Amino acid sequence: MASNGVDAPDGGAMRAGSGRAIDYRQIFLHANDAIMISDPESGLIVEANLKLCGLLRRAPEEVLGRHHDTVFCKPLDLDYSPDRSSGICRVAQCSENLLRDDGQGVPVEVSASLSVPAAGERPLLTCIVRDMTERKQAKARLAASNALLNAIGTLQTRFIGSVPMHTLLKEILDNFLSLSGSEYGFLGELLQTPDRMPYFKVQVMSDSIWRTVTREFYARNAPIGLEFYNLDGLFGAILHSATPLVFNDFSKSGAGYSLPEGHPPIHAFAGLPVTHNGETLGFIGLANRPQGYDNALLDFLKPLLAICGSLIGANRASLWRQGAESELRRQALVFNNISDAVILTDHEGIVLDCNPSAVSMLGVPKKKLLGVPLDFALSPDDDSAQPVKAAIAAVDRAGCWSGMLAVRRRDGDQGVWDTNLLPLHDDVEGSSALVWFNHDITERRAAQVQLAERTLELNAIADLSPDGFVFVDRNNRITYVNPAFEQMVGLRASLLLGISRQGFDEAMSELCEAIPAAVPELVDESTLLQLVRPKPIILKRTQRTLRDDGGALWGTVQYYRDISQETEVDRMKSDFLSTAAHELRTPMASVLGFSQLLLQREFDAEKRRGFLEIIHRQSGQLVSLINELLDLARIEARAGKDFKIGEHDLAPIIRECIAELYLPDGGQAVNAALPDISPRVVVDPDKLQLALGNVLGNAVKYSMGRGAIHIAISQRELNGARQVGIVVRDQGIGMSAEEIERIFERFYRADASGKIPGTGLGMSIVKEIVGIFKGVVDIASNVGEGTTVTLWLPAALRIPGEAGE
Amino acid sequence: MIDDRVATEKRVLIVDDHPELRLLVRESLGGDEGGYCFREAVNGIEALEIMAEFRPRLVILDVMMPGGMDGYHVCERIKSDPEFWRYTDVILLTARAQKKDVEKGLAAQADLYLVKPFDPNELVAAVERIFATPNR
Repeated sequence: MASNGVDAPDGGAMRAGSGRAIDYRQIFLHANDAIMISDPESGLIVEANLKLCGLLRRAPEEVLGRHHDTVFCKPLDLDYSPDRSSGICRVAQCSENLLRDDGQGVPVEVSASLSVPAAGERPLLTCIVRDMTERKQAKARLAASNALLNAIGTLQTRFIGSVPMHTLLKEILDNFLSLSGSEYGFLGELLQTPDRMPYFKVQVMSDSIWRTVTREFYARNAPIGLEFYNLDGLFGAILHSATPLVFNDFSKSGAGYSLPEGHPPIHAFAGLPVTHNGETLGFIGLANRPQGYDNALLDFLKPLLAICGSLIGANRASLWRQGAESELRRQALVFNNISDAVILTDHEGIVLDCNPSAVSMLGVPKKKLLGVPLDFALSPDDDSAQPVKAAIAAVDRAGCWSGMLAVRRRDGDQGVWDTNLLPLHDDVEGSSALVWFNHDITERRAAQVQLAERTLELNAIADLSPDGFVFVDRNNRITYVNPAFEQMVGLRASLLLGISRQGFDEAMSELCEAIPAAVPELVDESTLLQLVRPKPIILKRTQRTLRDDGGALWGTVQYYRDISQETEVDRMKSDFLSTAAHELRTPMASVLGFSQLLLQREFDAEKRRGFLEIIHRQSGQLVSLINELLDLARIEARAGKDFKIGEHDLAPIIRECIAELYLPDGGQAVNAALPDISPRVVVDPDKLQLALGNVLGNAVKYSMGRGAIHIAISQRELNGARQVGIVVRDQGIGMSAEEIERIFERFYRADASGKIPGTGLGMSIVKEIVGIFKGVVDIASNVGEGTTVTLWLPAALRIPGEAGE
Repeated sequence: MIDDRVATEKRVLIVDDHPELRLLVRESLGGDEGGYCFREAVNGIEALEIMAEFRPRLVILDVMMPGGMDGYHVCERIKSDPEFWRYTDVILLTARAQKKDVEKGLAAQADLYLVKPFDPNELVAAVERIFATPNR
């Protein structure tokens, strides 16, 4: 047959023996494809190569002789027509599963051809069976990838087409379920409560997740989602994990994570975190994929997971953008209506934009402001450098700047802006612009300057005032005391400032004899404080509460006036009057009483004479009193205005005074040691005689029968001024220190017995007169030894002896 | 025995720093012939000293006196001392005529307040009235 030159390989393959035939057979037997030759009439397999046997996992003997249909899962449906007459080989192809020995099907592609036999020979059916397992898998992967791409494409299109997010998420989940072959699943987002508490919200889930009991619950909640606030469990673990978490044996490895009531059982579970730009947005939960979840699947799903993240992220960004846009509109509204001037510049200080307030304040059209440097825009004719560059540098360095800008206002006047400079944050373009918020404080500044000036004035007044000022602020703290007050109370301001009002009151109380009634805090009234320290004075405290225009308490001012002198003068006047009246009444009682007795009763001559002497003496006392009171009143009232003060020789005045002195019988000698050249003094001679007369009179009265009275002239220099003293020394009864202290008191009498006549006014008159001469009275005395009174008088400037007289 | 003398003698203590005034009071009450037994003091301290042994029925007392103890003070002492007050009346005789001075005298429990200058007849009437009143 071989000599027939059978050119069909299959024919040759069937025959062993010839060299070529062996070659064919070798090819046939070891071909990479499985080859099967059968009889088309009977269908019995007559030849099968090793590959076919391998695919079928059967021995060749088992294969040969079988009906060729039995090696496939179903009968071959080869589209060929055995047309021997045409002599054309027909080739048919079909995909079929080869039935393996173990019952598994192997995907194959079958190419069949019918050999046209030589005359007299039967045709043979040759099937080349190609193992399609790998190809088929590749094809399936391709299909899956196509599905994935389709899903992604669809989802993106849907997103751009503004399908509601919920629908989109549902489609994402469905894609995940179908692509992974999971039984059910859900998709949720990690969100934040308004107070920034993270929580997990299941946005979509497959409706098979719940059983009948909870299906109603699902139906109710699915559209709005389920929210989970406890993120410590499985959900939290997934959300905190950067990579998917897989539990293929959930009942064991998922132990610790309990399922909600009514939840269908989970065999395998995969939690896939959805991220975008590194941020976890949520996760997709997939459950019960029959073959479990493996890395290959997770890798496969990665693109979809990524697109899912992008979509959710984009959705959020979109929502944010919507919010930002309305925010922007609001800000634009604020920008246009705010009363402060708002100016945008670039980092070079070139004006990019400004609001109507800025235009209005500067009084320059907006188009003239745009594009020019800010410092020029603010004050075109001012060369002084604005701190614009420094401000921008500060913002670049520290993020913000506050300060003052000088501006030329629309009225042409210099104005001041209080400015805050901030960078304008723009997520898209970075920080490209600067915003200058400017508040016009020109008026406030002017007011402040005025206030400062006013404060200076007030401080000057308070500092120079002889009256005390204390300011208490609204927090009841001492914030100011003036120097006069420090002087009055002998306390340094540094000790008082900052202390509480209570502490201040206590400090004041310590200075007082009796604790002064505390000044009611908010009542304007006056109180008297009788200080014993640092010196006895009487202070009148007046308080004034300060309130602002709105009536709010601002503080209180306490005003202290030293009224010691006024009070003392008042008291002295009152005392003087009542004492004077008393002193007049006593001699008057004698005069009236004795004269009445004389008129009404009979007395012997001696008694009558005694009574009349008393009446006469007491009448004289009354006259002296009245005269001296008038002298004193006149001297006080005129305060020396009627004095004829001039330069006079002292000696003649003293001599005249001695000559006029009334010396009773038995009176003591008066020795005057007066220099030949008399010193000159600046006095009114008449008034000096009155004063000296009183001194000499006292010397005579209080040293009756006790030795001579000496008069001398002394000179001294006191505080750079030359003084001449008239020294009158007696050897009389003398005085105690206490009596000396009271000697100038009106109506004070050293003699308590009443034996020595006198008014008690003499020394008061002496002091007044010498005081008006700007001299002083010195008294030295010892009880029982005598008294020395010196009247120091101002010496004339002319040196004695140079006198032209 | 002393009490008998107190009852029979009309003892009057005159306290004043002015001798003319003491004389005037004395003479107004009839002097040595007036039937009164007089003692005189020139200040408050002396007056209280004499009080203790003299035990007068009446003290005629000046207010303003030297020596640190004025008439008000002496009056208060007399009126607060159980030794004196039962049998001593006090007439304040003073040049202080203001209302507050009179009130001060009454506060010191003086029995009468007479202002200088005084009418001798008025003083006589007052003293006679006091001695006509039975001792307390």
